[in-house]
Amino acid sequence: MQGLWDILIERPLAPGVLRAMLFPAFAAHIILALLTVGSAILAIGVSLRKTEPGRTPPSKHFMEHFFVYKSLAVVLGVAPLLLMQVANTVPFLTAINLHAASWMMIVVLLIAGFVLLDYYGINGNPDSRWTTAAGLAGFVCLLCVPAIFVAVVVTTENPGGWAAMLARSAWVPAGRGLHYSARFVHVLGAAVVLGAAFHYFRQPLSEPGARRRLLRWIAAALAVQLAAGLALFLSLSPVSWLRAGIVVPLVIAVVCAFAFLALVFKAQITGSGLARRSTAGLLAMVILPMLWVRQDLQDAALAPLSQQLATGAEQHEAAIQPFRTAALGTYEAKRVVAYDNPSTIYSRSCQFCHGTVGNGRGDEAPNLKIQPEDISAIRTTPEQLHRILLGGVRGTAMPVFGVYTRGQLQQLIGFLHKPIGVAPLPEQIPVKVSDDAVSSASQTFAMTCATCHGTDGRGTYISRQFLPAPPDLSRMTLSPRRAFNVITQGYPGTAMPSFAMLPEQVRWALVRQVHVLYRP
Amino acid sequence: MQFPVYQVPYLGNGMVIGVNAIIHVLLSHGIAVGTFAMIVLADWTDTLSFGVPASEWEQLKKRLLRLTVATTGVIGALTGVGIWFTTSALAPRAIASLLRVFFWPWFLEWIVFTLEVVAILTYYFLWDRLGTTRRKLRLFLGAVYVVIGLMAAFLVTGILGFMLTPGSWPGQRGFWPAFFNPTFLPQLVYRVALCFFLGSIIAVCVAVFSSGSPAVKARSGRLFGIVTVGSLPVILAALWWYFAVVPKVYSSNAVFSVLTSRLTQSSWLFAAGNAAIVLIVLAFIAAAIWGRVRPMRYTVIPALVAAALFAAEFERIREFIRGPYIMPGYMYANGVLVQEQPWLAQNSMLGHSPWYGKVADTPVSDADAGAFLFSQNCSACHTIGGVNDIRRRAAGRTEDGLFVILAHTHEMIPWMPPFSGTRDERRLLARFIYQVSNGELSMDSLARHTISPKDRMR
Repeated sequence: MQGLWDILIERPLAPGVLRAMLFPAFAAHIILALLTVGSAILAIGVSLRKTEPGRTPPSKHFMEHFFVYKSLAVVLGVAPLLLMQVANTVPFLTAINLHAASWMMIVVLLIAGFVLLDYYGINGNPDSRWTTAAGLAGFVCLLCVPAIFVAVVVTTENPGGWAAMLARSAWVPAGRGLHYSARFVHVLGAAVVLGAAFHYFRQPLSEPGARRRLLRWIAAALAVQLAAGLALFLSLSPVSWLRAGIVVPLVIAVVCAFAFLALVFKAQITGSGLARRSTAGLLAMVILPMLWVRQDLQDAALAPLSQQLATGAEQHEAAIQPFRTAALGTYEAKRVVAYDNPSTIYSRSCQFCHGTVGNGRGDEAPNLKIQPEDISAIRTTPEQLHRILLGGVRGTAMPVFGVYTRGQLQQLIGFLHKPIGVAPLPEQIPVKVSDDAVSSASQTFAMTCATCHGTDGRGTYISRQFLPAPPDLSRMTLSPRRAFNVITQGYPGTAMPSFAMLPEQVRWALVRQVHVLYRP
Repeated sequence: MQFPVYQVPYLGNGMVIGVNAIIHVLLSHGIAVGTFAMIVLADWTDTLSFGVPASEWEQLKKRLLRLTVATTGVIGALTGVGIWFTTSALAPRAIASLLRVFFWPWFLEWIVFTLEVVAILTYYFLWDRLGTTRRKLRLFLGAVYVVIGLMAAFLVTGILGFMLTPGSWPGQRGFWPAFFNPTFLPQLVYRVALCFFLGSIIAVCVAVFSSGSPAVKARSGRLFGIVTVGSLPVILAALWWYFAVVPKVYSSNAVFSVLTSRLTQSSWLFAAGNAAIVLIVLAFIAAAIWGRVRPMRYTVIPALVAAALFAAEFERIREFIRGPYIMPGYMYANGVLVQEQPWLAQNSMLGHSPWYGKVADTPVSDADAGAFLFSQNCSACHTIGGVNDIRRRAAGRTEDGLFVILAHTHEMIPWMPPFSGTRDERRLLARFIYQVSNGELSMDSLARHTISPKDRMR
């Protein structure tokens, strides 16, 4: 993918050092994780056989210290996760994000899986359907986890396929299906080999049948490993594996695997057991070189992207560098502004529309079709102001201010009174109006204004659906001059038209009429 | 911006991280350290048995130990890992940056966690054996475990404190002032006291509801009740210290963080709720010191719920009030760097987001662009159709109104980051939010392949 850049904070250690630390950290985690998964596979596997009455179910042996393995597996996973996220930040976190839901489900699956398997392990009675069901359910949960982890890792290693993955909501990058399946099977096979070998030496010697069974498990699992391993090998392009760093450990691992398989056959045929030292030694020489190959391939797959990310980070850093001082300055300035006084709240929340003195001529007023109100002209009660602040004015830009507490809003309302100029009662109109004008205004109101404003100023059923609706004139009104201007010029952007065609006297009389409607 | 954005349906990203984290806090503080410390305390005061049969007392300790091991081993550890898993998926830029800044504390934390697991497993498996012959060793191991647990708290607190009071950041990026930042010590004291506070209440809860003589229950009430009494004033003092050190620009938003816009007009609820919590706990303390079973049974569960709510409240406040930042002065909560925002105002965000518009051959519609800008700018805190629903926040606003408001959200609402993008992009986002909030745009109608399918809400 083009255009990506690494995050702009330097790594604490060189990537090479981090990768060197990753190898043992991941090895420790994976060995315990394989032991955990292997124990569960074996327990479920043997539980399908009937137990002789009076004997301990064989699954109990495998689950006996399950709690220990899984606790260690989980806690040892912290280090590789940390190292991967620091060394391969962008690829790994991108892969995680492409699998975000499943990734987060891992936590739930592990909790559920462990609870169910612990319950199964403590009871471990295969004749009880509930316990077996619990064990199976837990087992399925547990197996989902490597399925998800392997998908995330395969995604990490194939940056070229990310964009298409996103477009198709794919589980793995295009063309990596065989690789993914083989890798997943390979993990499960390793779990069985390791688990069976480990438990082989922990089986009580009084049950030779159990040991023989485990040898069969190991042999079968090794066969699966060789098949899956071959498929995995074939899924890699020749370019990636034709290197000494890969070929040598791979050959060592395969040779040791065959050697171990030979030992297992010998133990089965002759009836002598496996020896601890040779088993441990050979298995170590299979797993550790394989883990080496795994990491080497991963590092090689990510090398080109790492270079691109480093360059991208440098470029990005240079691009935003000029803004550093100003950004720091803004941050420092903002840090000392607490929203605990009305002057600050007004200047931050109201001023850009309503202006510094509240006359509606804020900086953003030219960008609005419906002009912000001249607050200084509002005549209403503090309760109504509170309602407007909490509810906004639907159909306009006036927002809802529920983010402020009642105390903050009350302080703001006080500020809107003094110094802005809201008052609870409107002043007298500044001109004298004739009786003719008054009666004309009264008729006009009844026939024209009331169709939207209602006879009591509270609007009508229809006009209350307007966006914005006419204000409730019984609860709020405007100063005489402002009301006169609204009647004369209308309220642009709303349904209130201009009534400039009416004589001036009539318009003033209408103002008085509107003031009469106001009943605080 | 270099990561695709996932939006959790209904709950929203912040809530998922928060819920998981609070569960972890309750289990790690209350059980892993707190209840365990009560076991050690009970073990230590064995000789002062006050007429309680030794076997019964031992049985209680074993019960507490089983609870601790079972809970921490399964849910406790995994919710801790869960914090990491959820932040990796929902706030990748932030977690990536924090990991690099605090790599060594995190690495040490790994070692501490591993020691903790080994210690608790050893303690558990050797419990019976050491109980008969080597009591002193058992006590010592228990104390070692508690110390290890407190070390884990020490390491995490530095990072958490940095996320609110970043010390010398962002001007000077030193490690030590960042880790030992102003809220480090008060928060550490609070957390340690909280461990004992929660642990003592849990221990009494286990004692009074399990089988055993009234003498055992009375003894537990008195012994653990004294711990509750002692830790409560420390908690309150530590919190007073903590909020004295937090800059006012953040702490003045604390009440809102708890009440949210639904209850801000009843701000008395904040004081009343906290007072109720303290009273319930005091009632429990009285019952516990008195030592009678019935009063303890009636008060311990409310006290436990109250204490858990209190702990959750602190975490909520702490996490919320750092807004609009996730790393103050360096990174906003939506992942955009403070320094990037003015650059993006001049240089298009869409043009510098590798995941936008390059994933398909067909052209992107305006709605797709709006949805993408929403995902990058807003989805860290807002959902469409869920918690903190943007449709509810924007309902009734005009499109030009939204265009204007988006330029000033960071001024109107102190914990919101500024919009990142050009003026034209702001218009696209305003139109998107307008259309989504008045129902014109349903998320399903957006072209599937041009934005992350996860940007869609179902």
